[in-house]
Amino acid sequence: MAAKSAETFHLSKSFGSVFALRDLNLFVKQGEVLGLLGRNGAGKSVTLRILAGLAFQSGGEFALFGHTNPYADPAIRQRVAFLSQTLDFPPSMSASDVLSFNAAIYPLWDSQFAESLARRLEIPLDRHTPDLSLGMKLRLAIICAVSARAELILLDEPAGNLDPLARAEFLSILAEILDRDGPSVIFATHIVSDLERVADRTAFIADGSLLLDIRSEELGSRYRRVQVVFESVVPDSFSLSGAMTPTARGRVYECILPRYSAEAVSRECPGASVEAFPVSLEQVFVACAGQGGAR
Amino acid sequence: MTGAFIRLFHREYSGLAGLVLAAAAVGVLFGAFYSPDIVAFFALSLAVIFGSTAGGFFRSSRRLEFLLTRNVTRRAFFLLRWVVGLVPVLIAALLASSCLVFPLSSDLWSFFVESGLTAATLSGPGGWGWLAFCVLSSGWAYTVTFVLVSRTRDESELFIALLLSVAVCASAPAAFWGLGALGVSGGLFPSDSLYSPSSTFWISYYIAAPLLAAVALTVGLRLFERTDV
Repeated sequence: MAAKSAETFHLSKSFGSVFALRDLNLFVKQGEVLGLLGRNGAGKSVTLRILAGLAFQSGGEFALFGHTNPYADPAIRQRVAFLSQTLDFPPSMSASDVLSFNAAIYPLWDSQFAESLARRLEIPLDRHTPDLSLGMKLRLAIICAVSARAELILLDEPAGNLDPLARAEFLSILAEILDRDGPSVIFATHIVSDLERVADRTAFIADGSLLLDIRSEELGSRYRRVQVVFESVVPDSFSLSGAMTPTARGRVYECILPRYSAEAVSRECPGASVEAFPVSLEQVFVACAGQGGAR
Repeated sequence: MTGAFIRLFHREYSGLAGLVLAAAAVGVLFGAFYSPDIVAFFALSLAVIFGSTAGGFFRSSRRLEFLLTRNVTRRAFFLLRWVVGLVPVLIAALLASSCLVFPLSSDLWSFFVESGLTAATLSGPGGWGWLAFCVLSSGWAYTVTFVLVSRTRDESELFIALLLSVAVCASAPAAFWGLGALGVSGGLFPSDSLYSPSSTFWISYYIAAPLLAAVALTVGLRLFERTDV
């Protein structure tokens, strides 16, 4: 069984009387990509910032590579890379200086790879960082995150401000890194389609709590979009047990069902015709977010 | 790792450091530092300027986010930044107060003109005492400003921190002076020890100032190590 690169134990974080995280238990195994999905303010960024050592938990603890106080050991820091769309560079540095700076501080820094990425992403290396556009800064930050050969990469909505082409390029770079080095990745994003491409497992967070933690291959077997067509209008009191985001229009009742069983559904609505369809990650996310919001 | 961070911080300070060192050198050569209180004012002012520059860097959480997620511990980052800023402060303070011991300007000008300049002609121990006062007080002032400003998040907080740092910087010598006055009135010291920078009384301040700075730095470091970015 693969070791866990990162794990949280009953992690909580509050800002005054406002709770950003409550009793969060998550893990990512070695070589695994964990997607973090949740609405704005759900607690994704706070989780990643705590794991990156930028913020401190109010309760619980976390472990990186089995160390519960990881940043007390300088050797752990170089095994972790963090990327968010808010980070910025010291203004005295050019893009080339940023790469040289990283090369000087990371023993495993891959200069050749960094330079080839810079060419591929069309970074003007001689330009000072304040003169780079937001997209360029983000691309430079991506190079910094993936060229250090980190064993754990924390991505906090990195592609949110990138145009579709640059986002596709970023995902292809990430796929390359996953093939080459096999790092663990925790990838928080709103863009569900990005996760569908790369995530092995997805955790849904709402109001700072974990709603669902599911492997990508389990998604199809555990969830179905169910459509029930009645002979007349859907009865007012009708609802399938466990239904998420149910809607009723005329004769048609639709919902997402976890743990779908054709027999169980047929028993609940005798005489109606029942059809089940595969669901996308986005549909499960919307359903989970709806459930979380209703809690 | 350390070298890369030192080079980065040095690059950020180099313009200011060059300017301050040039000002100190020109001041010495032209006899601008003609009395100890001017040297002390110069040293404390540049300590506050450097302290706020070094500490002000922390207010940019986006840059901190980049730097603190590099291969560096928070402790190393904080201490390196403090040290790299402290070096030009101490050099400039030492340079400016050197004229209290070595009357360079009057010697220099006497080569060219019949100068009446008699600046910086303190007696040996008195000159060295004032030199220690200026250099050590500037180190204390730099550290206090660095710590206070590093806790600020916006311009208004920075302004308040600067005012506070000036007050705190002055508090150490003022408190010593007050204690000394009490001691003199209680008959513990002779009254002239209060007015002689090389007296045992003031030598105890020269020992206390770096110790106080170390305490301020330790407190600042503890807070920084537990601060959310």
